[in-house]
Amino acid sequence: MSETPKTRKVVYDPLTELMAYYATHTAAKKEAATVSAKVEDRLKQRVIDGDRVGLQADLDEALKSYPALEIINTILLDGMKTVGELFGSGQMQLPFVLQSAEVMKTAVAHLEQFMDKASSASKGTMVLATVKGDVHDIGKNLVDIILTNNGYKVVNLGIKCPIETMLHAADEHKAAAIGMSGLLVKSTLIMKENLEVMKERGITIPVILGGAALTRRYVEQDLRAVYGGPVLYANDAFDGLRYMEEIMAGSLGAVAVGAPEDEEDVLTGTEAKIALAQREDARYTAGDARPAVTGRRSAVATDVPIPTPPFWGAKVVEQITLEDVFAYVNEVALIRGQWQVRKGKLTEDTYRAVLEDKVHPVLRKLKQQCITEKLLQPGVVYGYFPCQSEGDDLIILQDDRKTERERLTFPRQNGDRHLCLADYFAPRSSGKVDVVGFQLVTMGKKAAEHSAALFSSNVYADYLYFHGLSVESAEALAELWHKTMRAELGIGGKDAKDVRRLFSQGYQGSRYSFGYPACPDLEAQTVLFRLLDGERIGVRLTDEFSLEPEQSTNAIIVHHPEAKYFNIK
Amino acid sequence: MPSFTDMLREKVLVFDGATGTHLQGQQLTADDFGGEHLNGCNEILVVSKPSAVQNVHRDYLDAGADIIETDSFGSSSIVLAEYDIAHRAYELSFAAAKLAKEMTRSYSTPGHPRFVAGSMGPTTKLPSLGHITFRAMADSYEEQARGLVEGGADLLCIETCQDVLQTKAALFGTFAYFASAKRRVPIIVSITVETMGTMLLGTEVGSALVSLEPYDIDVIGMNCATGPMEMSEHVRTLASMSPKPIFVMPNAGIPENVGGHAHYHLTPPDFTKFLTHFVKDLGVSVVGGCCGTTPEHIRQLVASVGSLAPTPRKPEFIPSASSLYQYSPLHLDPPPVLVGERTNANGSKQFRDLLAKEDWEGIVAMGKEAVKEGAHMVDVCAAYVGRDERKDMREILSRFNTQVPLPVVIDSTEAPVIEEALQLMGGKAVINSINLEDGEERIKAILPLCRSYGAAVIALTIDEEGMAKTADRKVAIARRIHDIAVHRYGMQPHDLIFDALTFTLGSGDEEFRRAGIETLEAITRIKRELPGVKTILGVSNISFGLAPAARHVLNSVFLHYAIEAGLDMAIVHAARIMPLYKIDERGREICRQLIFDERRFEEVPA
Repeated sequence: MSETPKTRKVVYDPLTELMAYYATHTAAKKEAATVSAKVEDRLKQRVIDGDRVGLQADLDEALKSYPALEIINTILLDGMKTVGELFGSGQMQLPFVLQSAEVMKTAVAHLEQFMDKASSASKGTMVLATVKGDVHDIGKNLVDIILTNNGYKVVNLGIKCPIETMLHAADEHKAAAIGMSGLLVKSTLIMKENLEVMKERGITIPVILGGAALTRRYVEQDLRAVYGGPVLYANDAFDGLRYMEEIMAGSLGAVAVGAPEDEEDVLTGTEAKIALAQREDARYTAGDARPAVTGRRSAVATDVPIPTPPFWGAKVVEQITLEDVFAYVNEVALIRGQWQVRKGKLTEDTYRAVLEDKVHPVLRKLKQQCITEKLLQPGVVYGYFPCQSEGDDLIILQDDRKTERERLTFPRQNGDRHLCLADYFAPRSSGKVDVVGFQLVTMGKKAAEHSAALFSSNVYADYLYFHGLSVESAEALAELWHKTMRAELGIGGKDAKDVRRLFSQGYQGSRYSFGYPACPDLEAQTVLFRLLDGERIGVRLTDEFSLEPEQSTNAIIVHHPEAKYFNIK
Repeated sequence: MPSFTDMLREKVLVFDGATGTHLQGQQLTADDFGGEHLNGCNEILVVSKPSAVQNVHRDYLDAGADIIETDSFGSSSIVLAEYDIAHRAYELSFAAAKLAKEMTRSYSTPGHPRFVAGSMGPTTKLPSLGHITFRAMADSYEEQARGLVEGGADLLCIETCQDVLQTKAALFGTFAYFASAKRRVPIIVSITVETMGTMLLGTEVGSALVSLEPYDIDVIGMNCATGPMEMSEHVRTLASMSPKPIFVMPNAGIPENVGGHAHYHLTPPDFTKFLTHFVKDLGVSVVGGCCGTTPEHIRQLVASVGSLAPTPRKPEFIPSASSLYQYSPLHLDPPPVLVGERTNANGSKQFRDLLAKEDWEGIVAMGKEAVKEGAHMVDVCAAYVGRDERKDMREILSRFNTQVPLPVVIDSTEAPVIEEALQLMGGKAVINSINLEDGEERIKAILPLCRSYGAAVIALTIDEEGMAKTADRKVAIARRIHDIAVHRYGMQPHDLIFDALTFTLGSGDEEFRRAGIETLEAITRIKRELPGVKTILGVSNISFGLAPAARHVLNSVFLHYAIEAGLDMAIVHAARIMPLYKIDERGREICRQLIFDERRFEEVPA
């Protein structure tokens, strides 16, 4: 500025200019105020300006030329894209972004009635959330709108979502991908933490990331490197749609997966190794993106965490109280199956009355009698053994974890999934040693003797009741002991809270009894008897390979998260 | 003998396991507790049946624990009142510490020193829900802390915290005791994160950390509620953010109800594997076992991590303010952090009217509206002529604490009002404001409150000569306040937010033509010369006196340049600014010229 003020005269003063200019102009830009002739432009501008007045009329006009979905996908989202750019470049503050989002929401709500949902069957599912500590959901909700309107199912978990919630939802809904969104810079760090947690649990579901503070470089270099599955950067909501299409088509480029770490590391990610299938399923498979069945083996995962048992070899357990066993008796199987008390043509109320007045009192009395007279004497022998699979065979190893000790062969499905029990164990080729459990439980000799006595005394009703309870108690004990073994293996966290759901496999892993479809060969029980020395608890294998006393049952215990009952076709 | 603080630097320290579970296992009778009326009051056992407590301590010391916790979880007067023995709080706290100290004394060796941590539980009341006043709670904790330290506790463990306001009261009471006794022991603060992923009242882990970080505590962490697996996400959050060492003391899994009893399923090996992972991979430095853990859990834990050195971490603490629920950084990208200013008796007629009617719910609604408008924090000012500001502040903030999810800027000139307000906020508040107008008077009154309650503060560039007009003076005053606050009161630079103030350009006075330039320059220099501090500005002052349309535009353009200059936060009402792109070229250019004083002159003969 001049240093001779007294000789200066102001010829231009921005202050007077400003006052003059806004005496005749409104604050907002002139051009924006002029109403565009084209409805497309008007709608886009409404989104940018957060201007809702007259929105519906414009939408209705646009509907004459475009299908509803196209209005959203092209015109309105184009406006939101501009909003994002203005926000990112600092020309628009958050309050105005929120106003734009409101317009978007109102418009979509109006257009929804004109859209035919792509089809009732969903093309695939995405779990979507704004990450922990972040409340911004505009971008995330746009992704929801676009995916939903293109036939995908979106499980929208809202804002400030912890990773546990996302993983739980992904598991529950069998999601093909998880979408994480966040506006703040700190959210990009949370995304990184989330991916680290997932990596450590051995999860590989594709993850799509979006949000203002993310950059392609950060996602594709920094974030990809910390995760074991695909990590994708979505610059806008349409990228999310494109990625979902690629994921469902199985055409996601291998490039999306992080720099391959050395195999050892991948397989032993700490939390995965700590067996942590405890609560979370150790593995998510991306629906159709699962690798195709190669050769004869099924697609059962071979990289699940291997639990460590509390001991190796076999052990006898005697101090089991009947009360504990009875808690696991499947009363439906007992009353309807063994005791043949069925509803038939009775009304619901009458049947309930029968149960209340007759059946339950009998059961209570009988249980009490069993306890006081020690008619049922629970016994268990069980153990854990090192093992590996080879084709259709399960090889049980010696304590040196190398030498073959026993070998069991199981049938394999011919059709669809090619399942075979052996597939649930680490293959020999992997070099890893897996663990298999065996159990043999019995309700004791006295149960058989008392049954026989009742039968020969011709008190058939009493025989029916007692025999039924004794047989179901053996099943209950097997269930109870399976639960104990799951806990010992550290996979009990997935157990259903309701005992009744345990009867329908509400837990991780499976218990296969000999004689059932997956392991039909009764003679194979000789192997189990050799491993457990079953006669120690008074159970004998007859020449026909049935168990004596009859109130006994045995099983192979499999920890693999995918292991469920299956049929051999 | 090395101290706890020495050992904390040197090695991973292991706490003991569950006390309650262990005592239950001893089949105690009502007589052991001193009668039916005291049955179940574990804290009485230190005098009624000390051998039972000694058994617990002995088992854990034998297992190798470095630190045992006193049997004083509920030895505060608040909890003991449930058994009608509130008056015995000091006695029982003292006895609990003495008992434990006698045990550690016989176990301690210079090679393996053992410590006593005075356990201070959450009591049975939640101040955020109005169960008890902050002051009453702090007094109770002060008595408990005194008993524990005088009985011989080497450190204090404020644990199982459910409500951050409760935790702040505990710290307030503890520091009050330290001040009166002129001594200090180390403090661990441990929050409880429920299975839903937050503290009981909904506080995020990051938010709790932000609220507690300003306190002079030694270790921060979490215990109880879940097993280690459920904690892993939260431990990671602490590991990445906490400047202080981290403490983790999980249950042996989530309790399952088996036949009416809590059953904890996590075996010692699994428990140990998790905590070892936390120690080795995430850098946790103090571990232990909460409910359901046994001496065997601790024995295996000691064997696995007891001789390790702490794994170094590189925490990245984000300077923030917080509400009871969430935290808002003091710098956002893209900037600025917006502070809503409508809940202000000086600025909003609507607010004044609601205040006059004592329509508290209406005021809460205004606070909630700020969220919808995109504000990141909300300024609350209840100073209104003829009204009791302190009482009004209490009415408003006791509601805001639980009902408005944004951090609060407490806007008052009265220290007693500010203190009352701070006793109601679970989160970390920002105080608005201090200055040097009357010398150091205000600083003397306010900065100790910031330290006692863990708050950030806004400092205006005003001194004995008045509001600074030039950049040089603004920076000089900021530096003077910074030095007093940091060196004399122990404030951290990131909790100082400077308002370089601006004057209106609307008057045309020659004196203020450069007001915009000076403020922008001051913002840049304060940020550069005082590393770590933040800046804030009430933007609309720049246009005072102009017509609404011109104000609207000038505010918006000035905000834009202030952000370019490095401004972190703006006190602004969304209705008084507009997005830059909406302003036409010409309007923008005129504003730019006005802000940078680009008048044009012509030389004329004198």
